[in-house]
Amino acid sequence: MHVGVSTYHTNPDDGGIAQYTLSVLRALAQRPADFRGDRLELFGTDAARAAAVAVGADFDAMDVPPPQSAAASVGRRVLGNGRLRQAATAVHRYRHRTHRHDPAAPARQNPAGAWLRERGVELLYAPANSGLLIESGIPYVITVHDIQHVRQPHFREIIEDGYWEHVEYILRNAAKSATMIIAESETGKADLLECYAGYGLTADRVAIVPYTVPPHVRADRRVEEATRVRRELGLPERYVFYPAQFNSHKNHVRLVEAVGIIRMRTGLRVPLVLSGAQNWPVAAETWRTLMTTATRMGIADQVRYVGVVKNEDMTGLYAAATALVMPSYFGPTNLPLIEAWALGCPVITSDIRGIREMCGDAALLVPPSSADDIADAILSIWNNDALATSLAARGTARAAFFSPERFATALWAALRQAKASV
Amino acid sequence: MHIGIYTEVSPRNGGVAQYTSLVIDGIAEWKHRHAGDEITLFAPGQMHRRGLDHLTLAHQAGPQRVVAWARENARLPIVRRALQTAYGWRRNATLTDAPVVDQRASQGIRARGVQLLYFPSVMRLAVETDIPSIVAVHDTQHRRQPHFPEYASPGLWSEIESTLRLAARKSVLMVAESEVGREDLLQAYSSHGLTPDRVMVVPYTTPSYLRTCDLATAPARARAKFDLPDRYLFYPANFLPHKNHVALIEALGIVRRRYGLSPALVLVGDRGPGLRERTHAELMAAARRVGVADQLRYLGFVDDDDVATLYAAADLLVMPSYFGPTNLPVIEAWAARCPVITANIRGIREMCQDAAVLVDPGSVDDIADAIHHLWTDASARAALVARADDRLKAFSPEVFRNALCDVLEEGVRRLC
Repeated sequence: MHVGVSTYHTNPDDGGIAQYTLSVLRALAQRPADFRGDRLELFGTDAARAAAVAVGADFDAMDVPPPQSAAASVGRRVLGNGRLRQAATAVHRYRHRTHRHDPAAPARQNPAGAWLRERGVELLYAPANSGLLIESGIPYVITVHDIQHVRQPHFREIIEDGYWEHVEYILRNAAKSATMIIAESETGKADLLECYAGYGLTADRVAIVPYTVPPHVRADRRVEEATRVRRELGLPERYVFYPAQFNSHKNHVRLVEAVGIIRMRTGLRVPLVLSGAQNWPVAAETWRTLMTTATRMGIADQVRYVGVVKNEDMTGLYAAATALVMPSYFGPTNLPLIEAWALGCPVITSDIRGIREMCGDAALLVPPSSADDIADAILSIWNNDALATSLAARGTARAAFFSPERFATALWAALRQAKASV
Repeated sequence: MHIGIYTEVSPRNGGVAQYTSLVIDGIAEWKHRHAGDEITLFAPGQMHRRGLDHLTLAHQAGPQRVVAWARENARLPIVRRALQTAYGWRRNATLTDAPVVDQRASQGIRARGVQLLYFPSVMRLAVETDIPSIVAVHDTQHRRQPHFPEYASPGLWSEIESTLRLAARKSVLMVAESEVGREDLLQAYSSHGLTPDRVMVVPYTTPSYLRTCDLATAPARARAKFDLPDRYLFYPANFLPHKNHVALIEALGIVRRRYGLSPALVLVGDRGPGLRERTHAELMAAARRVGVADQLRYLGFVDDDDVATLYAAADLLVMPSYFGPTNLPVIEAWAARCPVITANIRGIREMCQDAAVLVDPGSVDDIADAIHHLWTDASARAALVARADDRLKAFSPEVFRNALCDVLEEGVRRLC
């Protein structure tokens, strides 16, 4: 069996998908006995290949994906990357606007698929939504992280710019043609089946592989890392932390309001450290709203944005934090919670379906739309060391469930099942 | 917040057009609650005038701005228009539940600053725009009673179904007109991603032309204008098979043979080409067959204000329609203090409770007996009117406005 793994998202500004991809690469490095004779190839960007080497993955070959076609590659060179290219893309999109996302029609043939078939790839895997997989004509396994575009379509980052249609296109086709779909929890599997059984998804083709702690989270070095990162980034002695891309569903604004409420009610200044990418329009708007709110509530000086953080700094940021506060509207599993648990950082997060099941008793759960409740939760941890300690302990216990070993075993089991059916 | 109301219906579209004007009217409450917000109405030419009328009628209660709008923009150069028509045909021929984004329409609407769109009826743009949308769904009868020829025109059923399926996944909220309608929606579309937290209820209400109508002088005005018989039964409805006109005509035949009564029947509604024309011809043939042709008075398409006076002058509204769950004429009749006979079906039952006489729409005898009973019993009519006054409270304009505003507020809350 010749297995191809396609990865494109390994940069820190890709957010959770990048962390997940790194965990996948690490798991694939631990090849079980029955896969020893198989060929495992990695396709992706240079960054992805470098990341794979860094986590010690043993891939048989690592190759960049082919250009779409010779003509396209010449065209790309002629057009460059400026206005001309944008105009050409716009024309292309306009011409293909009905067919491109037509899940009822067979997916268009992707020239990369032919290239992969020529190389002899018999099974493809991608750790995130990928148009290449469904268009390749090769049996594939795909990880679907959530179906929130169906559950909560009103967020700008979901509905604008054809993103909703793009996700729907991939998921409807995957429901029809994926050998296996990997969900991250029972809730995620139930969601998938509820919304895509009508498009041909069956329960036996959905495997559950719970998330795990990404490789760069180093529980063994958390004390040193906390000291180092606090010094290098100039962080305050105590702070609450929220690492998330500035999408509106991440609900940063409620968190800022909560910090403002604490200041108004008790005069306490709780520093808030934020990290994550914000270099696209929705994120820029979220950031503006967030800072307007902070200024209005007189806490702008308490908000500290540390930018897109290097992976190796994450350990320190969690370990030095008094709490992770993640009032996100999306689930069913959120990776930062696992990272915080692994590093002994108490967690406050949303009381929503999926997250509830994920957390058990290892977090304080608050309704994400209520700044008051978020404020109460922050205060209770801030002023009560005993609670913080017990939450951290429960978190450590919960983190054990999300161990890398369990992740690797489940991922290989899903691939094994796919291999058997191919 | 800037809210857009988007419609493509013309006043002749019957109930849907009336509902659209209810929404335009109900927006007054939103302006009252959220003074700083902007409302823009997108409507085709005819509706545009109607919207403007409402602006002046309701004392600036409507939207601040009205944009005359046509999705297939008529101002395009002729060659492009021809190309688009050809393209549109091709598109309709292959319409599936494939999601696409109409960038041009979306950008045109967004350029006016609109952040949230309200669709008073199910329109394709609701699922083809990337602006967050709220869609009002009036019924799911294409799923419950697909055998009616209304759904037989090529591609129509699929278009309704595919639009609703997409809306179930993609709309911020769906709006049903009753709890029954909400149940229907969830039953039909929860397998397509619809969740209970995304369906809200806004019950219908009395249209403004009935609220402003002077009921005391209305019968006289109606008689002066239309040359009406002294007493008559009234049924305002498009001539479509599900409206069940033929059963009503046959019931009149039975009333005549069995009881020797020949009550007049006044019909209004558009007799446009195609199915409506055929249905109208069928009912006229039925009238000749059972010998009640002389009792029929067809007034053609009648303006809203005249409809109000016609209700007021009528003895009975007889509406044996097969569709529900809510029928606007019943509310209109209640408001005009006209007793009601209507269909004993799911949805209508819940709507009417004891404020109407309910008959099996499939049973001509049932309809005939009810007509005979009410036609000859003034006290029974009075009792119905009294109960209707009570029932009408559940459909008051305040209830409608508040429910509509709650929906918009929920939509806005989700966006922020």
